[in-house]
Amino acid sequence: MNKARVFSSHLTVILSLVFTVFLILDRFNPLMNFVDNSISRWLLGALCLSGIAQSILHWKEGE
Amino acid sequence: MGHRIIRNILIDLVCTGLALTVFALFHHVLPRRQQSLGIVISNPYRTDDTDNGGSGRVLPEDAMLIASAGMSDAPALSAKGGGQSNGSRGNSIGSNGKGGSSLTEESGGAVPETEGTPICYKFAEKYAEAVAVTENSYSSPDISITVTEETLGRITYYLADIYLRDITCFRSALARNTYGSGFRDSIADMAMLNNALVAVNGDYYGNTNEGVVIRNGVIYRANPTDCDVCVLYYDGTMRVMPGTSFSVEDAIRDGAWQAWTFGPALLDTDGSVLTAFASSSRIISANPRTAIGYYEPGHYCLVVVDGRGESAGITLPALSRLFHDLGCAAAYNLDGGNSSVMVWQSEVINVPSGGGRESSDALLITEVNDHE
Repeated sequence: MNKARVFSSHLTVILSLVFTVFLILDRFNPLMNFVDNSISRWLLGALCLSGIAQSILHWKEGE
Repeated sequence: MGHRIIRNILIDLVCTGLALTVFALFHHVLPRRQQSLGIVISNPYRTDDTDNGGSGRVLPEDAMLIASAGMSDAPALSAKGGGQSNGSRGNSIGSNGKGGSSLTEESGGAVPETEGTPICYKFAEKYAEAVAVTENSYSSPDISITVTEETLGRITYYLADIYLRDITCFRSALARNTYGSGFRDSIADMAMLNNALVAVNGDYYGNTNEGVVIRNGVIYRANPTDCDVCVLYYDGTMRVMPGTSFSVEDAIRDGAWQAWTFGPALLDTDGSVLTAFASSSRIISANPRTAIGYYEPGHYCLVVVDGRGESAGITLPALSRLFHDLGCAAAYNLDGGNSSVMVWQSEVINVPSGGGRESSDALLITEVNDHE
């Protein structure tokens, strides 16, 4: 359980940083389509799952 | 405790860097063939159909659908194999409402029994009976090009003034002759491989999956886009339209020969100057630029503006003013920045920012008929 929590928190931070970079790059060059390509959509899905997993683990810890 | 936090931050930063590197590899660097729509729009003005296949310059390996320009309901979207209509040149000249009557008027009455687009009867004084080449010009029975270096204050730009008797001389080249992302070549190499007289960078279609890609009469991609789309038709006309207005059916019916997705449009629909652009201030600001201008069927220009060096680059409103002053009826911005390169007779003649960069495609003018 603890390992899963550590993993999901790292994953959330990494994916959030990746998307922050994408958003900055997208401001400079929207035609490169950093945010809305197929790879980014998978990464966004992973970020959502990671966020949900982390929340569930956090609630479990509180019980 | 403090050490642990710093260690975690460092681990996350390293992992973020790795993730971005892997992303860049797959998104941008590694060549990847893309699925092409493979719709070939046949030239309604030719009977030998050598434009988009026979010449061998850009032969889509997966091209399988052949659509006929000038057909009102474009049923060929679902027709496989042959079935191309080559006998439609007479009634499809005016397929987009511009060329039908002018053919007869410009040829002085009777329509000659030769094949060709309406533009082949125009600008006769511009063409030479045999190929004639000077340092800054080229003329032949099909092509007339004059290349000049101009200055506008602190701006240096290169203007290729182009007259074409045969629109199929206006070609595109794909890097590695392959449609996909991550395939790149220098403009000079693409120009040399295609025997180009003059060449400039295109729209760098490989950077994105959005928008319309029609090259030498082949529809590779027609995805939704918010960008303006520029379409050059077999009858020599060029139109710039919002991406939301583009339809494959219209492109087939009207006989699209090339289409690019970058933009924005540099002139209003009535040819007047645009002063406001729906782009970020960084994109609008002074940069190296490549753009295409259209005067009338058969008469075009390519402009490359140097920037980020001795030449200051040009803003989009100033580029719009430039094309208006040149007398263009329509103009369209292509990929710029380090991509902006013009090759004339195998030599790069501008000063590309950062030494230039390879691109996924090029626009070029080349002979398609043999001349002595």
